[in-house]
Amino acid sequence: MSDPATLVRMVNQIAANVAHHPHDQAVAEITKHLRATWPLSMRVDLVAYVDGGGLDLTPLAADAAEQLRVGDAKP
Amino acid sequence: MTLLREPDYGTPARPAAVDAERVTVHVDGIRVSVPAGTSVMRAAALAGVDIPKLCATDSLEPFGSCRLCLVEIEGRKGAPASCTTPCGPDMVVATHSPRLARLRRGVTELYLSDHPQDCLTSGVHGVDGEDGKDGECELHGIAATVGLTDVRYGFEGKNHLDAVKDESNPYFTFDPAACIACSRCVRACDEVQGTFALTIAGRGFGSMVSASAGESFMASECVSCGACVQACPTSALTEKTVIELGPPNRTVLTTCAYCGVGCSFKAEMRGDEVVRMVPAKSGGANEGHSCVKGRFAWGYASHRDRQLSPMVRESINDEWRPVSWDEAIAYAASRLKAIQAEHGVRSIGGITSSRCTNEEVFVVQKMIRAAFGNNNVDTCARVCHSPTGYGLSQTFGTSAGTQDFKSVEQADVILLIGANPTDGHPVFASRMKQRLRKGAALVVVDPRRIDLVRSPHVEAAHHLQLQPGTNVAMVNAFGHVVVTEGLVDRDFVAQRCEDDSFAQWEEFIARPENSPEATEQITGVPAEQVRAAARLYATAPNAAIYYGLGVTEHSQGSTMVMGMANLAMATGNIGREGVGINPLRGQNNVQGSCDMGSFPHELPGYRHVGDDTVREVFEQVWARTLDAEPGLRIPNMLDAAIAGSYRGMFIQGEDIAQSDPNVKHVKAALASLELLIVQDLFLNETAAFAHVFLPGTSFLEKDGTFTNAERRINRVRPVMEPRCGKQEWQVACELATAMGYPMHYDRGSQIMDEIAATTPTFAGVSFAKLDEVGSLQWPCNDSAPDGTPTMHVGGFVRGKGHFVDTPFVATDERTSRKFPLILTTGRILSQYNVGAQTRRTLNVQWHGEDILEIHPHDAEERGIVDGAAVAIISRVGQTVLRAKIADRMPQGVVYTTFHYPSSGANIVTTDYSDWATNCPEYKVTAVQIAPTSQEPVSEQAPQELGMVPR
Repeated sequence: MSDPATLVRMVNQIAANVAHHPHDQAVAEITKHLRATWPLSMRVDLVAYVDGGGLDLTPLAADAAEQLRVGDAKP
Repeated sequence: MTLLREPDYGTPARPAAVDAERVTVHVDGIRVSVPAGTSVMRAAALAGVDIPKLCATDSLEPFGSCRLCLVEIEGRKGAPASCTTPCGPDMVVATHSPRLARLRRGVTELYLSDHPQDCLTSGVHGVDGEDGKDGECELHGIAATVGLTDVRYGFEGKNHLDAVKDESNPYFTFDPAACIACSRCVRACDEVQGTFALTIAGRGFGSMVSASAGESFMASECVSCGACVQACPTSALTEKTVIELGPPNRTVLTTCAYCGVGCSFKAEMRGDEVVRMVPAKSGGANEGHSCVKGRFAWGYASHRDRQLSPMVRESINDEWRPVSWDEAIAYAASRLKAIQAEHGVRSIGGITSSRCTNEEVFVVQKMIRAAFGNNNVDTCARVCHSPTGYGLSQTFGTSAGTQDFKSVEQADVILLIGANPTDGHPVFASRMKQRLRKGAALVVVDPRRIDLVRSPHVEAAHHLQLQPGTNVAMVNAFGHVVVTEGLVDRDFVAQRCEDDSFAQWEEFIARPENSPEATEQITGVPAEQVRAAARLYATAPNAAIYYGLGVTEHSQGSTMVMGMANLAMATGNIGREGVGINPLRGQNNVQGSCDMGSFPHELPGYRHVGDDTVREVFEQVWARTLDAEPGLRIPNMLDAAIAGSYRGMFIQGEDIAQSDPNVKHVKAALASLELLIVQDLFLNETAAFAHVFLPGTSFLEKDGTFTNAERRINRVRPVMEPRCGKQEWQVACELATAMGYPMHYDRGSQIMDEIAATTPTFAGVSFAKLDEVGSLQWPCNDSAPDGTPTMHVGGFVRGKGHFVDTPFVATDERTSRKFPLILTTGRILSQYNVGAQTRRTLNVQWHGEDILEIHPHDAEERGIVDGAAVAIISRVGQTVLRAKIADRMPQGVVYTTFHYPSSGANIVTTDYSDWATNCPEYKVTAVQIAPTSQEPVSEQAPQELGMVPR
């Protein structure tokens, strides 16, 4: 299990750096980046963290994490 | 191979365009055609005619002082010096005649009358017409050539034979008695190195080479690059190893293992012992130049700290137990398999090293992907240039610098961002300074006043002394000026770049928040200065960007790389010589280790592990199904180790317990592992947490290739058998085999053949071809059989260039009342990375400990005096260093290096990292500095480290 604080910091940071895009595009950018560079275990942990309430995730990061669940068949 | 003597044509080649005028001359009846401006001496050498010379060598401009290279030219009076006489059309030259012989004998006799007779035996210098000092003083060689057997004047007259030697430099001596005041050393320091540390002091008979203002070499501004020693035609300047060991008698051509310049060297040997390393003129990266590290600091390879036997231990609290290779491999494999059996296939992984060869890295990542069965492989490039890979891939389509080093000779404006080449990449810095002295303009973007801002005959047009962490705001301001002042190269953009991404970027970058006036609040740099610098860059015929870790090691490192790419594309500064985006890579094989598939999401050639087609290529060759999921990055591995899901690790030639940020966290992670295997030359800081130690090989023992920052693949040839008994790739193969995945190669060339067979950009590379042509710059394939010095000519690798919007997102690491200063870290000329190599050489005489540089006002506010011990306190840790008050630091910013484990620079750096790649933010750590009664942990004296000054 990844450290939740680290996961939150990382995904929030990614979200902050693509937040200039329109919402849907930004979400797509985040999920694409997570799928390309994060190992499966961290993506699974992120989705589980969202299931646990997703405390401290920015709205954009939370939306992307949700999208991971929808679009990523593997977790 | 016998001693390799590279030809010396006496004077430099005249750079000539393809259609440049040529002239034909006749030298001793031999017809030769040369570019206009070529000296008679060079034309003669090209015709195979050697003209005696002492003050001339082809790395230096002609000087015309020794009066030995005299020739006769039909229709001209006298006997002009051939080095300073340019060839004229149909010139008829005689290089030998009774009159010339008489003149040369007379001059030589005068030189010899004030020259030690034993220079013949104590000296080590080359014969006339050849570069490569092999035991003969050139002066004595010429004496033999001109038939001089006696000196009529005797040796009793006034002379310099009792002059005192300067032996202050740890690596070479200066013997004024053997000096003929030819100025080759002075000119080498000026023209090649660009330090201007030497001069000829005095006049007439009193003329004498002098370091700085009559100081010793060690106390002077000399940077010990060795150019003067190499240029000296006598034994006046001689390597101490040559004096100690005698002249070399054979050469092995190889590649330096220090920075990303990747200099070619002649390892000159006497039997099996290295006598000296001499930079090779044929080396594409360095063309005969060197720095203090590559030239002299190779003694670590035989240092007594080398661990040559495999060792194991059950627990990190146990003593090491030397074992056989078989036992060590079997032990490591059984424990790795046991971990996987209990915790899953993804519970182990490894890290490759940028100090290892392409072949060694390729084999380790193959071992992890095929034998371990997962993609948990990462590399130390994670902590330096991973943002370069990401940023250039997104914009241009491939993860590499765009130019060769020689390209800088065509640059009119050089934009240097977050790099300090005179310390980090000194041989390239010399090349850059040569161009700057010829008139190119320099813009430096750096919080510190680095040496290039103002040094002899070099002065930056602009020094944009920005706040650390604000690069993106700066590059956006540049882009804003380009777009809003009509400086976009519309034709280039229309032809070479995507319409839609450019249009979007153009709208973004023109927004008021990106103007220099707005970003001034962020960067602290006056808007007018930024506008002037941006105009200079955008309007130059050729403008080139060079950058280093001051760009990448930020939370916005990847954004900054893309911002620079945007800027280059918008101004059309890409795809030809003299322009481009040029990352100055930290370690010798950063480029190569990344190329070889060291990242957890990419197979060799930067192809994603999720790409079925690519994976199938490797699955066929490797006969193993590969994981399609990205693996863990280094910081992920560390976190997972603490969490308990990652339990076994193989670390190849990297010392993460010293080099990586937040060392306390790193050590906690390492201590959590069930099994840590370290392969290294030394028992480094990381090895303290290891259960298996596998000895590694130094670059003098390796057989493979390095790829430098200009994508140049160079051969690394062994000068001796591996001291530990095995090549490193053999060890990885044996470990993989013991894990149940048979891996075997007979020789390194077979590994390169496999790389070429699976990686399109390396398709045309082989050891045989490298041996034939010297070096190759990838891509090297059917489309570019001779390699690719300049990338993106006529089109980008990805097709059209892609612009990316780059909003400035500030780091979360903020200064506060408690932590009001920003610490940045970097390196210094004489030391390298974690210092594992250079700390074990006499380079410690220049830099014996890490020092904290602090602005005078910041020091005064805190009651800190120069040399005082100070505590550096960050949010994650604290350490103690000695302070140096330095006005090159801006107020509010402090700086240190991380070469010594005892200094603990990375105890204070944090976990913040680049948003896209997790490259650590070494360049921004909020700290407080305070005087302390505690002393820094002292380093051992060189003698205590087993080094005897030579």
